[in-house]
Amino acid sequence: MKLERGYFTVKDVQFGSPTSMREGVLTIDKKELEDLLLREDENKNIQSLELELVKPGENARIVHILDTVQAGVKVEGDGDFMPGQLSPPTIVGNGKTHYITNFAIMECAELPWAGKSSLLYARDAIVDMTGPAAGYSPFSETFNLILRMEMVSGSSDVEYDNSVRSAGIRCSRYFGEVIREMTPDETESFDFTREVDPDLPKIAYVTQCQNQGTYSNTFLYGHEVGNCVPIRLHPAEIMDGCIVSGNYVWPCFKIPTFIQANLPVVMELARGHGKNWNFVGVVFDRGHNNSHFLKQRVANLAASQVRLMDADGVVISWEGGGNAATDAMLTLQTCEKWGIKAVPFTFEFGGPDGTEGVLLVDDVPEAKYVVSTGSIEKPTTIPKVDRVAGGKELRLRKETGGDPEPADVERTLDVITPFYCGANQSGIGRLAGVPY
Amino acid sequence: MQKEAERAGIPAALITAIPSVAKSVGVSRIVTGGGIPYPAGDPSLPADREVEFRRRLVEKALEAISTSIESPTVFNVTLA
Repeated sequence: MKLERGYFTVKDVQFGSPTSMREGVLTIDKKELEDLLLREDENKNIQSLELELVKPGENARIVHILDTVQAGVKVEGDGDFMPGQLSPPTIVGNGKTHYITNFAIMECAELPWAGKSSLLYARDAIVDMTGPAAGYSPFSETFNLILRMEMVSGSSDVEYDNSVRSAGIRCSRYFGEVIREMTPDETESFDFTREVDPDLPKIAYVTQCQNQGTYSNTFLYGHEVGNCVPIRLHPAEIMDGCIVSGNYVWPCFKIPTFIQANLPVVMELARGHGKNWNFVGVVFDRGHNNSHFLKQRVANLAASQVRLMDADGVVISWEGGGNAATDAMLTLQTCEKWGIKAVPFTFEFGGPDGTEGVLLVDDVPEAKYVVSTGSIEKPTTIPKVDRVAGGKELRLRKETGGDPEPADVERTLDVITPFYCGANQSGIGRLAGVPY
Repeated sequence: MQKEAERAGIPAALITAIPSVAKSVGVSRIVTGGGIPYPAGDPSLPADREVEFRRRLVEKALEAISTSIESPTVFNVTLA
């Protein structure tokens, strides 16, 4: 496959009319877009929708974030950006795609907590644009368009999820049309059709997504992946958005749709392909399998895909905390057993100073080199902010019924789990290691 | 809890869906159960077979606490 990515960088974003992009300034016709998103929500699960803008450096906090989507459009080649979402499930990865790099579309809403299990419900995700918690999220550095939604009562979880996700996709398509005919600020080409030096090491990537049902879901070519066996994907398919997130549970771990189309390991391996290594492909699968047998099964099938690519080495990362570590560690163990060197990315526990107790959910002796994406148990104090976007209040305590608490005040969080992407295991983030 | 019970001198077995995690935190007697949302059963089985599966899990746990062990040991049952 051969894909050219055209990148647009915005200097500013403002409301105005008509919607346009001129000299790096994106103007958004607020009413037109609000009306469009409400009109196209076929089953009317969105009761109200208001667009808000939040800019880098602003003294602001964004709450109720469910998913974040990139504005993009397929300019040449088959399929649409994010294929299968309101479009046919056509295989993508060839041709030319345009993206806005530093503009994020954020779906924000309170989804119902009543009747949900203690683990799988839409948790409140926070992005602070300034202050000590800003570094937890790459979206403190983007211009953010907030889709602040209130949902009607009485619909099903599947309907809420569908309406929220589709609103983000429609928004992405709306801005995609703005940049379709324009000349990108920068382009990057990925040509996987060239001959590669056979002496270069062959490297694969396993990306294991979260899938435990509605609100904890991932979509591949427009359908949720509950029954998906490990499948080989081309890196360019991933860059064209074939993986879409419907994961609204642990905010620190979830991999937003925006990031799924820009997975750091995929991008880095693709950039070094043919120079430093031979990037032989990506294996996509789901974690959180329910039993030890199913974990062994997914690990064996994923490792088998890696071996079928004749890989010498593999990078493994997973979405979500908890038991998904086992699926990934068993995959690593199987690869190592077959002589394929494997390195995982993982978050850590470790208490406030990072050294207490058991550090990993699960590990295997074969995991000799481990990339840490940080501890989730570091207490963090967030300051009072001037402005809150995405909603009015925070819901942080389900065990007390999720009573709303003020969102703009100073508070100390014992763990970093509510910070959006705060311990993300995809490789995004601003953490640096310090020897001690 | 399993570790604390054993520290207090009471032999104990843990029925869990993920024996590897139990092993890594130092549980000594581990019985591989049904699934994460249902460690002591398996609702995908027909009712009569599930009852038998659950019986086997409990019997295996009893066997585990009456077996002398040197290091963390996983006990498995066959599906009913």
